[in-house]
Amino acid sequence: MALGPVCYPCNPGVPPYTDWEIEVGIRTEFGLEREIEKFLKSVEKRAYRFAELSLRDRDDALDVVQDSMMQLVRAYADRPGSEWAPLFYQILRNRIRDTQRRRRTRNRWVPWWTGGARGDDEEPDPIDTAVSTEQAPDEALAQGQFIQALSAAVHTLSERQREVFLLRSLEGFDVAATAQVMGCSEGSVKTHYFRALTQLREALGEHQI
Amino acid sequence: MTDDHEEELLRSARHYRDQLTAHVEATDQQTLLRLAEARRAALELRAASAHDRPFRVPGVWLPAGVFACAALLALAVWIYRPVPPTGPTAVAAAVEDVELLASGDEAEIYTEDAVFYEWAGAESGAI
Repeated sequence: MALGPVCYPCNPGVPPYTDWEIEVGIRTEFGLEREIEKFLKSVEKRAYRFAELSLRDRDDALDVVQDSMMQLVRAYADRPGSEWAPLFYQILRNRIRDTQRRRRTRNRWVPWWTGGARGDDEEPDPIDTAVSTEQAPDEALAQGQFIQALSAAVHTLSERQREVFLLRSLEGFDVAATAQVMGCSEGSVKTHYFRALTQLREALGEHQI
Repeated sequence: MTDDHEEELLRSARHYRDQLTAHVEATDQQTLLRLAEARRAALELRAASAHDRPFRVPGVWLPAGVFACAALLALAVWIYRPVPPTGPTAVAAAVEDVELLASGDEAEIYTEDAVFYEWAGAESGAI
């Protein structure tokens, strides 16, 4: 089966170059900075939600997004703009995994050190998880409740299922793009996505449509 | 998997996607400000690194530079290559060598009595 082009919804369509830059066909430093800015702006909100749903902590999520932005700019800014999306999400995914690994190590020692108190399992601050007031209150409340339930359900998934689900549902990546970011086959992506959806449907129960 | 189950899963997938998209759009102002700061910090890093490297070597120029250096080196080697001796002296020496080889004398004569020939040559030069 012939697959279509890889779909990264966050990819900027037309690079923000001036007419003369396009005419001459060069990538000036100034034009490149604008292109990077446009790209980062297009991914930042979704990347933040991706990190937040994976880590369940606002500050950690903001930190990993900032680290990922810096790493992309530091190491891959000179690459063609079409490569940025998979690279950025690969970096973000690695940063999230690093943070989770650090937490696991910390959680192994902190209970012993503090006599059982653990910081990471606390309920999230309701102010932090509050949604924008631009929505109607009922709608915002319902959505907030659903997202909280979804966030809890997402954490019952395996790491790879969670990543596939978030890349497909939150970032809007197609199967090929998800496989590229995760470094696995498209068949594996389909399997993980199917299992994730099945498990989420079971876990969410009353919150279903 | 039945068609109904497949249909339900697809409906759920659409629902989750819609809810997550709404969640993304509902990001609060404080978080948006922090994200903007993060973006600015990354761009400043870029600007600083560009400032540190005023002579940035973009992808196309690196192979071009290597090729130019190689061409220059090849030209220099060709210009300053060792030149074999030319002119009447070189021709005479070559003819002498050919005569020596064609004479049929045994080569040992020339090696064994090398000291004698050297002395004889020096003597004849002195006369």
